[in-house]
Amino acid sequence: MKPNPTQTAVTLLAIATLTISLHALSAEKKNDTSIKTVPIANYTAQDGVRDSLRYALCKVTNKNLNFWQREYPVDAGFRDRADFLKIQVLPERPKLICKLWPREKAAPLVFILPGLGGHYHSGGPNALAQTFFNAGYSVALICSSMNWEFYLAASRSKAPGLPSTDAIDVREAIRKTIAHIKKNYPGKVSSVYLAGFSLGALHTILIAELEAKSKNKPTFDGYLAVHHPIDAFKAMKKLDELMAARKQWPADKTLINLEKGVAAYLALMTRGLSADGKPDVSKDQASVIIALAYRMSLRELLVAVKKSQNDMGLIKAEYGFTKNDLYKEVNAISFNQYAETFVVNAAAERLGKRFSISTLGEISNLKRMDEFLASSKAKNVRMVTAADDFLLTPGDLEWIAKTFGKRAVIFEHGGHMGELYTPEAKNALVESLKATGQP
Amino acid sequence: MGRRFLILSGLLLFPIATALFPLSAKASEPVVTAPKTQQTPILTLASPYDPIEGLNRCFFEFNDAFMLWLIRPLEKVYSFILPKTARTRIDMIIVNFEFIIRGVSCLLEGEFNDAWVVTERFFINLTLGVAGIFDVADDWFDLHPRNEDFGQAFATWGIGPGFYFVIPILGPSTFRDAIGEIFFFAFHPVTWLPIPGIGLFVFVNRASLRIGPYMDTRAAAFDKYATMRDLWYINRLIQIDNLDRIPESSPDAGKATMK
Repeated sequence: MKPNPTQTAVTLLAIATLTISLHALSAEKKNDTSIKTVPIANYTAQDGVRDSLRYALCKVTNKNLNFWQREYPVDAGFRDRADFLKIQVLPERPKLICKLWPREKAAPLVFILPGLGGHYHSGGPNALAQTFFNAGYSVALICSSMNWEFYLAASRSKAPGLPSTDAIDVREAIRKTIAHIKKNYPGKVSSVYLAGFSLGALHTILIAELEAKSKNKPTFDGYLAVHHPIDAFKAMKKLDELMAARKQWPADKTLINLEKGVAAYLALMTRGLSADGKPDVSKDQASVIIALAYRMSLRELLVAVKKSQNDMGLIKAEYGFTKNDLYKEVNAISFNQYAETFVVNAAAERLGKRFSISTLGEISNLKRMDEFLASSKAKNVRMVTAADDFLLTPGDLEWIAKTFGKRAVIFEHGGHMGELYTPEAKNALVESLKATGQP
Repeated sequence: MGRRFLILSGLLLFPIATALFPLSAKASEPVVTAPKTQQTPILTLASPYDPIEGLNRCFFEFNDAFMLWLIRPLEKVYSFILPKTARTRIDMIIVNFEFIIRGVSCLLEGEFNDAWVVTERFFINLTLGVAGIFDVADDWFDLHPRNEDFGQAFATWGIGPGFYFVIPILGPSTFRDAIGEIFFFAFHPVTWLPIPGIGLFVFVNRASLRIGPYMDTRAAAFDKYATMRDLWYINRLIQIDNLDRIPESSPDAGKATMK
């Protein structure tokens, strides 16, 4: 019997529809069971980019100051209560500065690694330090490995950016700092934890792996990675994509849009959220100013690289008293260009073999570490992130949920670190860090 | 006497200076060297035109040393004598008497409503606010500050910023804003007060309230000059375009930025 073409078509269509529906259903079911996100009360979310701007709300708070503390510069609050330690990490280099908030009695010490380009004077890392200090920890804070100050003091790479080698440098710097603290604050350190944010979080996980492989006594009792990218080079590309949002703007409107973005950010810092509970900024403006902030820190790093004569001939302009030509050149260097030229060349010198950027990406990609991260050796590694963090790529959340399981706290909203000012997130940071030390 | 002579000379020199350095609106557009296209790096767009960088860096170093070795110690001693609240209130009184600068600038901009608000604010704060110790105009009458100056007025006339210029002791500026500074001092009540050292007192008092962020930025920057220049420039653009004003509908309206 010859089949009726109409009937065949209808049957095929029905099968196709059923298949698609079942696939969608199974995917939904899979998501439901694997990724549990944590809601935040009274958080009027917009999108992963604009929500990220709320990191500006992470500020040091100074409550319960007495008259003398309020009115006279004897003690201007938490930020000024720290000791500044100077540690010689590498010979013939400037000393590395570490900001330390010690507690009077023996207490666990948490080391904070800020995000890309972060400095120990930056508001966000100081606020995060206060969160841990208020929970009973002594806190130490150093610059990011991609900050000019760390680069000059403690980086063995001609140009930092390769997470696997940077993590080695950061680990060495921290170990020397801990030795300095234990010597100068005897009996004050009961245990040591590492808490990294963004790029610092990626280093935290890489350091956890290095420690696990080491035969020496472990330096750290626990690790907390907050908003870590899975692949540092994809994250850098993402920052370039954010900058590309300016392409939507007519050429003569670029500057005014930039001004509006910066003004909104400043308003957020000084006056907080607007009446509707959101930052008053468009998504493209937010994208560009986030990218601008990171590009400014990359620019500083590049000028420091040039000054150290480590630019490997990649920057033509000279480093002199006047620097207009130098800035004209480095202003045009994107993160992707930096990775593909500076990082690749510096890695070739350090590793003794030349690798492509994709191979270097694979070396530092956390997904290659899933066996370690899922093992009992990594039971003291925990993480906190948000489902809409713009640095995460498709499939990353599923990987995080599968690999970390109950050791992960995934907030529903916040973008990249834009939920860290909320009480829920502060509590999650402290509780997660405490849990890393529990058997 | 010498100060007044300098101000009057500056006022007389303004027409000559503008003839020598034509400040067309276009001067502000291609901020540095690259043409204004989508390809111009955003960091270049956010930097001022700086052809006299060498001289500016010298002045910057001088100012930085001046802040570090003279103003900072003076400010430390001064801050131990007067509590922060007193220093803040003194600054508020001075800000209140600077109303003439803001009022005239608003008039020059053609913003008559703003000029009226500035005048209202002055008289309300002078009387109910006890010379300006309290910003009653803002707190009770929702009359928010209008932080206008002569540089901003010139900008509304279409005069471009010209080149970046670090003024010794006063700090970052542009050629246009430096001319505005001359008018600022000419209209500033303190200029005409026959009290020796009053200018230094006002300067140190204001510095004592603002030196913290300067020291932090200074400490975190690799190239202090470039960082301060670019941060100042973007902030100045925001002021000129009035993007720093508190929206009238904001619940925070009433918390003046000048405080």
